[in-house]
Amino acid sequence: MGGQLRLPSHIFGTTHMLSYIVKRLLVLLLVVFGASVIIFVMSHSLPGDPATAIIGFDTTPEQVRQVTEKYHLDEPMFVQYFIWAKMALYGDFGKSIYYNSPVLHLLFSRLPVTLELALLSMIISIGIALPAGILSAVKKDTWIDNLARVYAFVGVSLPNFWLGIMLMLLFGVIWRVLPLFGYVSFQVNPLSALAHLILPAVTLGTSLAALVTRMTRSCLLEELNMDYVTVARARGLRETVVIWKHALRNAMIPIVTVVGLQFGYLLGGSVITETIFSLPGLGKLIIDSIFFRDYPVVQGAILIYTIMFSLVNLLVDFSYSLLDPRVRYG
Amino acid sequence: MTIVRKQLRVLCNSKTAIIGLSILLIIFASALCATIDKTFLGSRVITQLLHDPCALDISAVLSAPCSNHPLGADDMGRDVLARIIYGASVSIQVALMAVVISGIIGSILGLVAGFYGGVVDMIIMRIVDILLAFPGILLALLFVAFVGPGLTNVVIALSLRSWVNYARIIRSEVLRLRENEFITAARATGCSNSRLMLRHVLPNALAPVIVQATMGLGSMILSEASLSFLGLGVMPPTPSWGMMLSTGQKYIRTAWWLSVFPGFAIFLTVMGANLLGDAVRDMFDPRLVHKTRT
Repeated sequence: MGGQLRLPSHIFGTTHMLSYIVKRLLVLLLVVFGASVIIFVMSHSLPGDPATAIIGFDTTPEQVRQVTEKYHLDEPMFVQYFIWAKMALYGDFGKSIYYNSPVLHLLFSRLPVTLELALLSMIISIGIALPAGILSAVKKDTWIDNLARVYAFVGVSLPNFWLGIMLMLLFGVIWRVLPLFGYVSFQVNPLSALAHLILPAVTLGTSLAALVTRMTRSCLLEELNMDYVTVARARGLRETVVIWKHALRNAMIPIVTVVGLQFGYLLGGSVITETIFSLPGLGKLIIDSIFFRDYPVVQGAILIYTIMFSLVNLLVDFSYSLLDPRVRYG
Repeated sequence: MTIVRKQLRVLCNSKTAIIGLSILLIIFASALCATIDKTFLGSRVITQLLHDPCALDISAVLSAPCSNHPLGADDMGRDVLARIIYGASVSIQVALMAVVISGIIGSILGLVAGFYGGVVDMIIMRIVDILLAFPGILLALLFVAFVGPGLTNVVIALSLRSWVNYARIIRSEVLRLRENEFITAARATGCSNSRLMLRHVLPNALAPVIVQATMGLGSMILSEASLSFLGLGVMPPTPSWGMMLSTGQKYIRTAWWLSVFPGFAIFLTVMGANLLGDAVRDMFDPRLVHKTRT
């Protein structure tokens, strides 16, 4: 039929793959359900009266009664959970106590900043890690390799909050070439936006870059020791062709997987980076809301984080067979 | 040569192990001395050698590094070096306790899941899946936010998610081991399930747990420092590296030493733990062990 979407037969052509997708989606639902229960139970483990915790101590009994009724705080906990979960399913996470606006609206207004930061961090880290890892493997046991290995090691040991402060000190205080804090939207002024995001992105991406450098080096070294590479060399192929066309292509599969999985961790890491650089993203919102005791926002934001993280991991899982035709799902 | 001696030889021959161990020993010794001094001697030793880490000194507010304050003084005139030494005890205590607790819980649950399989395995592994859905320190953050900060709560918060790594590792080891002949033989001799698990399976599945624990030490120190940095770790006036760094950020334009030195202490400790972790991993790598001369 004309216009019908045609996918490679190895991807969705088998019932194995379909049943695998269904199975994984069911697990995803279970995971999100479990995570929501944990978030709910923890947020209800506050010491003292929950109504007072929500609206503060300086309140009248009438206000306490209203909050108790509104949030069904007099019901058993599992009833409260199902009321909350049902509302969350309809996108109603309640109203922020501090910002006085719907939680979902608040979350979606902050999400783009976090995604911009995570994406830029990923671009920077891949931009550093791939060349470093390839050079390190190709020039094994030279000073380039040693340098890349030291970087890879130091990168994973560096606390990102310290790195962030050190970058601020160098680029913002001593050399005064980049702004210390704040955020400008890409739609308003792309150059200024980049200037504001570059330090947070380097801060967040350094450990990922170190990890990917390590991974690229070891995967490429493994491929370069394979028989097919020896055969390619014996056939008289140029070294660049052997590396780029043969070895690197095969080495890319695990590298792409690690990069994909780490995207979720970048989302988690954004909490601290956004706090250091005062970026108005989801992570900063969580920290601010914890200190403002704005619990509906904390609940909603953490649930959104877990859903995004689980979805990214699921997509990476599905991408295995797209990247590697040898992968089959049972 | 026995396998243990070969493994120890791999560890002793490793430069990374020696560097990592040396760094950790210095930090651990400082932490231990600080704990003894604080608990039994009322901070007398540190006060004589440097300054009382909690004593305010208006005349030294934001002093740059000098002979009296080798690493400078903070916004309340407290000596940064003394606070870094005392901060080591908090970081090491929290990290060690969290590693031990998560290691024990994870090992037990992983052992039970792998050994019994079926519904038990399914339930435990689904709990693992659920906890893994919280990226980074978010679960710890959530716990501390609602239950409150403090040393004990930080330890619980960090252990809440990290046990799953141990459970997954030990489960896969148990799945591999339980099909081995020595397990079948032990079962045939009438061993009970608990004896099989504790005497035969667990000792053989511990190597990757030791590797994970060594590596996990660094990430626990980082996580504790992150929570303290966000103001959700141990409470003032107890010094902690993360909190010191957070104070340092406020004075970044005027007092660089407040952010440089505590951060360097965290970096050095995490690097030491990672170096040792790498070496311990090599120690249990059969390819490297069999390369050593017998």
